[in-house]
Amino acid sequence: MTRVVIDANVLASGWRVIPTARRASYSRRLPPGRIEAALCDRILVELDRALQRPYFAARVTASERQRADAVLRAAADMQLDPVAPPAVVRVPRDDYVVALARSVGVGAIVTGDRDLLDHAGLQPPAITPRPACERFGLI
Amino acid sequence: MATTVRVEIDSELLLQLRARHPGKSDRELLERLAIIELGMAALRENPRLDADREEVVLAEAVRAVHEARHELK
Repeated sequence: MTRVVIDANVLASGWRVIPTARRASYSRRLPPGRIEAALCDRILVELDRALQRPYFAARVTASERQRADAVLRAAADMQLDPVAPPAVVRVPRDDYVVALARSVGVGAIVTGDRDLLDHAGLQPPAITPRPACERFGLI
Repeated sequence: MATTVRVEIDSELLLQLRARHPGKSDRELLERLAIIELGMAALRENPRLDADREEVVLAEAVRAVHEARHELK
């Protein structure tokens, strides 16, 4: 099984379901067991806050938000929030995602955040959802 | 608080579950599976009327998480 850290932005986009067959909805593929997501409370708090922003609030109900949180907590490998993560990427607020990924030894960080994606030589590497799904045989 | 009931389960399956999640009680193992199954089913069943492109949704999500991350700093 492949382990990854899934950034809150990918989880948010995944729960905003689009009725098209081509969608690479990463978070909705968690339960079958082909990948394991390592998450922490902070990622889920950010997800909850993001889903309350206007774009998502118009598309995701409070009940769905709560259900998403429960499903992710049950399906993912929940880790403690990184404390005082070392500075790695351009935006310090993103450092905890890298610290989480390194602490649990995942194969990749799945994100849509350019600050992570464009960081040269980042280990583990940051990749967007569609290449991640392709790499791990989900689509 | 919901009441609890006793259930029967294939012993081999239960052993495999226990091995996969050491330290969790049988109740935790089964309830975890139920939460995932029921939660995913409910999320799949909700009809969606719009169809923004995947890239648009991800861009909105990145923006929303940036804002949330800024608040939580």
